[in-house]
Amino acid sequence: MAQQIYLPAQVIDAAGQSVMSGHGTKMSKDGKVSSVCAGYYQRIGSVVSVITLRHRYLAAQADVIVGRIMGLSIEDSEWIVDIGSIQYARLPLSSVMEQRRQTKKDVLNMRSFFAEGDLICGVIYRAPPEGRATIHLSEKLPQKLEYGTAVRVPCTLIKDLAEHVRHFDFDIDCILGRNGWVWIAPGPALLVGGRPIPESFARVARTRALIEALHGRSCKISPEAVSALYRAALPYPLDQLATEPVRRAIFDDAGLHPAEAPQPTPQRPTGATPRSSPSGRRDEDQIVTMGDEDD
Amino acid sequence: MEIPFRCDLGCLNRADGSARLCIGGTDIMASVTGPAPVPARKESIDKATIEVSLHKKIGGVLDNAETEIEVLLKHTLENCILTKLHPSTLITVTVQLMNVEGPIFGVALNAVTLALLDAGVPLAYTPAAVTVASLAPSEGAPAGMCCWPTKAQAEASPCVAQFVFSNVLPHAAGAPAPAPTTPGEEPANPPVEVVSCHLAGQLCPLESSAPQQAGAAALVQLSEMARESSLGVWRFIREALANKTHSA
Repeated sequence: MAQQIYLPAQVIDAAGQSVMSGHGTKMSKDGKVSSVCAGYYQRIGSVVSVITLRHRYLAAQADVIVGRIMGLSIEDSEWIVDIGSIQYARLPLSSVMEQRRQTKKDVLNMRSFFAEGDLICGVIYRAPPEGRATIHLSEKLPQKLEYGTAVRVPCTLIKDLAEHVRHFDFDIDCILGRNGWVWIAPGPALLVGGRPIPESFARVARTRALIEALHGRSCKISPEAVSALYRAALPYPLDQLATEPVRRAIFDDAGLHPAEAPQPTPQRPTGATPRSSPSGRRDEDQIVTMGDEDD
Repeated sequence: MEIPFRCDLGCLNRADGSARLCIGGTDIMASVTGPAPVPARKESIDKATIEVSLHKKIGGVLDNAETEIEVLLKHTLENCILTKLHPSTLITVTVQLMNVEGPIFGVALNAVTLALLDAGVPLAYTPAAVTVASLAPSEGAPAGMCCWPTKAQAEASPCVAQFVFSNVLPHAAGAPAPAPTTPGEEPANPPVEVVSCHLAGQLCPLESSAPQQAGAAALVQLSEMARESSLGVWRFIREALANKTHSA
């Protein structure tokens, strides 16, 4: 299918065909579906969307994310978390106090759990369309992230995975946050008494450099890609991993190529997005915001 | 003579969207961040807040003309961006003048448009700006017009007009609906509507016999030339986006 860029306000389908407007489109009063952003056309069944290559992360329920505590609200007993989205998210104190009832003393001592600047890993519990998402911590996931480094990449490069927390065989643990924030930390073999040994810093730095290389080439950041790149990059010193010739060499060795134009991907299953209900035409303008384009 | 357009889309990797656009000799870089969380003092609960800041090549305080450009950009974007979709957020647009060789507003608005499209900010329409100048008759050349005047041409010109066009027609009862485009097909006659026009100077000489008609005719001529040129701007925007995605 010849891919064509749609610009905002370009009419996609005139009234008369039964189409519903999906991401990146809007339906006007007379039923015309037109584009709202610049991107590629995608049609799944009767839902027509315009997919942009880049957008800010939009929270969706059950996404594993990495976030940074920006502040806290004692009145609401919750932390305010930056997840790289259009709004901050909130982390209620109740998600930390699962074992016992929350008392006033716990609320006043919120900073002993998480303070401003801490990195956390959580799951999106609720994501209202124009409001703030709510994060819950999970016992299966690391909660407060320490002794590692976080890299921000566009959220479109992180696929939906079964397991977002990955342990690599070179003793590095990664959390591939769905919001595009990737946490890299030494694995248990490189920790002594809970603290990392100095030899682990080089491995964390190499992994970070390789993830930045994947970002630079707009490749999807998947655990397989990172493993393949790590093996291919072993012969090269760390300070050369950012240079173009070395990157070309290791990408060729690993067999990775930059992503082509976005492939049409299946829509998220019903029960989650699109933002406004796709119940056919409505009397007022039906505008749908953009969301993640892959699922 | 074709004025060269050059563009580098996505040049700043920290911004949500960025573009460096060079038309003729005027080189402007625009970056867009947002929609992003907004501090309470700037918050609007029903729409996104838009902030535009213009920065000169070497920095310093903006003079009146540059402040006016900042305000014009903000008004155009408030009209163009679908701010009601993202209430209580902030969209920050930063325009950096890299090299100035003529009127700035047209190039700046096109650079900002490219940056907004790169960032994926939802727009009600795609604005295309064109600057036209009428050329006073000189020896060897009759009175005429040109698009994207250089600094010398703009200073010598009696009238410089900066048009902003939109690619959507307003809802008009009885107007034919624009034809839908299927993927792979270039729209034949994209609808073109004037969003704004900023004129500086005289449309026609004061000594002319019927100044009102002459002025109106001159304005129509300028706008027709600008309209033709705006189709080229949209074509360029589409090509820039296509090149970016293929080499992303």
